[in-house]
Amino acid sequence: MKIRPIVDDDRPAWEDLFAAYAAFYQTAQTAQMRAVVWDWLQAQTAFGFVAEADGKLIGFAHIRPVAQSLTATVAGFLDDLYVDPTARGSGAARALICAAADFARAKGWRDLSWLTADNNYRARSLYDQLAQRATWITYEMALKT
Amino acid sequence: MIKIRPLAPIDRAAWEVLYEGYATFYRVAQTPEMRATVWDWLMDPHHETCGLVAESDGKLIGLAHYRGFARPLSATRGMFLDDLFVDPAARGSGGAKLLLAELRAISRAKGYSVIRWITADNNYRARGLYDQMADRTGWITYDLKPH
Repeated sequence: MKIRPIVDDDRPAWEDLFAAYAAFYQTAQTAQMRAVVWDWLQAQTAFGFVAEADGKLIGFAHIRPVAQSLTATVAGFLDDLYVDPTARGSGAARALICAAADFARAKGWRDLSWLTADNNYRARSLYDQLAQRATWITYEMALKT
Repeated sequence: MIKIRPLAPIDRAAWEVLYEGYATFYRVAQTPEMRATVWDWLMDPHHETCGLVAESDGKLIGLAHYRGFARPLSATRGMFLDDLFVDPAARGSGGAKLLLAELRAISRAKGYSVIRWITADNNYRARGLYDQMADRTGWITYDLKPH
């Protein structure tokens, strides 16, 4: 298994994985929505990484830089992380996070942070090994449904 | 009467005092150099970070720093509110609520899908207001620090 930056040829396999990820989060995702995010990755306002095993994509991660005013630094934020259910336990999620953290470090970003659902237990058991759980409370004001 | 308006170059001295007060609240050792970096971000129209201030009787009593952010899962953009602070002497004046209301108006005008922010678990006074204006989520934040 190897982790590498996403490239043009990955688009069909990335679409399948991103659609499965949206289904996991019970989000109604259209082809148009995937096209918007693909454009972000092409424009490198966000950066994509894929996990590949035997020539097949089995996972992906999306990260982007974030200006952090309180510390006057730039940090990295991991928006999305997904591994195909048939490839769970392969170490792909750990390798994707480590690759994303290496990328962030090379860019001089201060750290890499992400959000997850409280009850995402399987993922959290990995996150607890790799990162520190912060005590922040996140508030959201929804503006449209 | 409190007025909410964009941060302007003339505000620098008063902004420094407020922002230092905010950093003290969060126990961050903030240097003048750090404030200079953030001030440059705020004054740079091409930088993502933007600022609002609350003014009362010609005096700045509060600030908000915000930026747009990409949301891949919904393929939309949202607003992240990085910093919100009201001078302790002006607490109860409605300054924080007015700043949040203006941020909501800006977000709607930009077509953003959400305003998101984080706060300390024990920031009880502020959370009393946040609970009225927004939803407390169950998101857990993880931080991976470089070695």
